[in-house]
Parts: sequence; C-alpha cells; structure tokens
Amino acid sequence: MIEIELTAEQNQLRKTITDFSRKELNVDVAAHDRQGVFPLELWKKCAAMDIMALPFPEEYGGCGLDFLSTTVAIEALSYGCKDSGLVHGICAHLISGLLIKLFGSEEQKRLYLPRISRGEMIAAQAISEADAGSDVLSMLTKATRQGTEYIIDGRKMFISNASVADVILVLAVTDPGRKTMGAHSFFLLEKGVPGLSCGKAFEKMGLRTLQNSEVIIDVCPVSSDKLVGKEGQGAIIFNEMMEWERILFGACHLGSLTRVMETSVRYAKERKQFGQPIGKYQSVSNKIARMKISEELIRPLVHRAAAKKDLKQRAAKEASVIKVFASESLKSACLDAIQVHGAYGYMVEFEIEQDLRDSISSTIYSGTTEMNMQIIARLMGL
Amino acid sequence: MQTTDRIRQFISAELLSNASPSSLGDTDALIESGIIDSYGIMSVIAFIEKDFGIQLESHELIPDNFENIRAIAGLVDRKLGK
Repeated sequence: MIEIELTAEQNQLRKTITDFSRKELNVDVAAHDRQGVFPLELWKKCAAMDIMALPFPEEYGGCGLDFLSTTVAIEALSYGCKDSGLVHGICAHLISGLLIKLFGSEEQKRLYLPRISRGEMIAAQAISEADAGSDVLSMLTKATRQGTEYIIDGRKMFISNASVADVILVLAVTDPGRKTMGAHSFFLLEKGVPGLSCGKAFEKMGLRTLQNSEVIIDVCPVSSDKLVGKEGQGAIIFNEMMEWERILFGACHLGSLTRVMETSVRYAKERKQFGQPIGKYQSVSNKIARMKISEELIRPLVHRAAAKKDLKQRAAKEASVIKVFASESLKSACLDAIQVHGAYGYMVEFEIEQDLRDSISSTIYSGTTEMNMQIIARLMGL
Repeated sequence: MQTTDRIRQFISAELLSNASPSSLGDTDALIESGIIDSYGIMSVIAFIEKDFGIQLESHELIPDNFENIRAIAGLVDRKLGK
C-alpha cells in the first residue's frame, strides 16, 4: 500500500487555492444559484489562477503537475468555493482534457490542450443518453464511416458544460455488429460543426450553475482526424477515464465535506441552548464526529489512488470505493449539518441548504452508488 | 507455466466462475462471447499488469489485444520481450 505524505509544495498549493477560492469565488453564490447561470467571470478567474492548466504538460501550456497535486488543488478549490456547480464544471473540463492528454493524437494535443489549459476553450464529455444511463454502452448514437469522414447521429442527455462548451468529446457506436467492447469510439466535436446543437440548460435541484443540457448531433460530419484513440477503443477509454474522474470527484466531495464540517463546528460552539453550546450535547457532536471520521478516511484513499494513477497503475476498484464513500459521506454530512443548524440550516441565508441540494446528485453522476458497488463486487471476483 | 495457461487460469477462475480451464481454448472468442465485458476488461488488465509486472500503454488498450487468450498472451509476451 502506498503511504502518502504531501510535500511542502503540495501543502502550499492547497493554501494558495484555498485562499484564492475564499477571496475570489464566493461572490453572489446564492444569486447565481437562484438564477442557474454559468459564472463566466469566476471561470475566468480560475483560469487566470491556472486551475484549468494543472494536470497538463508544460509543452501543451499546462502546469505539468501530477494527478496527486491536482487532487490536492481540487479539494482546496471545493473547500474554499461555495459554488459546487462551478467546481463540478471545472472537474468535467479537466477530465475531458485528460482524456485528450492520455488518448489523443499529437495533433489533437497541440490543437486543444493549450486552449483547454488557458480555460478559453471549455470542454465537455457527451456519453449518457436518455435510455443509456448506468447501462451507458447500450447507447444509440452512431458514427458511420464514409470515406475520410464519420457521420455522427444521435442525442446525448444531461451533459455537463454542454451549452457553454467549445469542444465536446462524444462517445458513439462505430461497429453496431460487435458486443460492447470494440463497438464504441470517441470523437472530438467542435462548437459550430454542422448538425451539432445543444438544448436549453435543465433546471435542477442543485449544482445549478453547472450547465447540463441535451446535445443534439444531427447527421454531423466529422473528419476522421477527430477520432480519439483508435476505432473501437471507446469502452476501454471510458473505463480508464472513469477512474480519473471518480478520484477527482472524490477530492471535490472531500473539500465540500470539510467546509460543511467546519461550518457545523463553528455553529455548534456558538449556538447555546439550555445554557450551553449545542456541541456539548452528544446527539449533536456525534453528527460532527462522523463528518470528521469521513474526512480522515476519504483523504488518504484519494491520495493513494491518485498516486497510483501517477505511477500509471490501474485503480478501478479504488476509484469506485472513493466515489461511493465520498459521495455518500458528503450527502450524509450535509443532512446532518442541516440538523445541527436546526431551523437556521433550512434557511437559504445560512447556505447549508445549498450544499445539501448540491450534494444529492453526487451519488448519481459518474456512476451511481449502485453501479459503483457492482463494479467493486465484480473486481473482488463476485 | 506458459503465458497462455496463466491467463486461461485467471479467466476461468475470475470471469467464468471457476470453470475448468481446459474448457477454454486459445482462440475462443472472449469479447464476442461476452466473457470479457466492460467490467471483465478491467479485471484482465489489472491481472496481467500485476501478475506479469508489465505496464500497458494507452495505444495497447484496444479490443483486438483482448479478443482471445492467444491475443492477450501475445501482448504480454511482446511487452516482456519474449
């Protein structure tokens, strides 16, 4: 088992991103949430801080940080920034860029990664469909080869960043005659390509600043140099990217959970009932202690799995363990935080209710808890 | 034990619920038959990297390299320089 001790540079990175997030990103959070608008100005501030450049090689305009450092930075971002929709959008952008970094051609890396690193080109991945969620490889979107082009046709659903994206990585069926493995391929579709459009962003319970919409791909011609990796490699790329994504979202949930926990600690010390702070009552303090236990357990899991990816090792099981544990812990922590805050927690002004709404989908996206449990069991040989 | 036999033993035990290894031939279709599905591929990749001490590169993670036991063994042996 890999034991991780963060370096002085990684601890400094955590502090720098936390300070930046607290100072610069908590602007009009409740108003943005109410309006469901994408906070472009805040996105630009994050880009100016090189957050979108963190994991990409310097030769492509990135910071050249390893994945462990990237998870430290994302945890700090999610800890400092109360707009979880913005943080989620950044994670989706980073994962899309990482897919290009890991599987793209040299030409694709040179074309896309510098602009993705600068945050001026927003990236998205379009995988889920209306009838292909957990059973994602049963998708209907097809890419049919015609000479030097592929004609892509289909519709994607609930796609994060879609309506603001400049480039979308689309997973489509290239060989309908095959079973799931070998049937799918990834393509890069740029905004403005004929036949590509996005629906209006959905109104959601939480993560409202994250723009999720339908992507309509209507007989869209794509040059074969926009194929990512090899034809038929889509399912394997998808599996690999899920590892990176689940670890990164684990870091993101950890940051949110820590912030919610610290808010609860402050309140439990200040709020007095029956002559003493409510934190002195075990029924209250136990809720916060459980948050602490989760925080202490999630962090080493995230760091170890990220370090495995840096060593080019597989971490499918670890990624699913993190995804289930971190998202379920975050959701429980937010519910408990509301209870700790009592009626005040239910009020929009106290901001905890937004954290709860934002946390609900964490056990759904990037593989539901149920699907991730299934993966863990399968990888245990069950 | 030969590379093919080690792979056969793993797939029989882990993906075929401890079926007899002798029932799985070198060229039996693993992907087309559904023996290696989107979960199974993760187990197989993790197994060969750990058991044979190799590291697969992204361009090697293609279905053709996992079509059957012979293809997987060929990939492993190439990585080992056999």
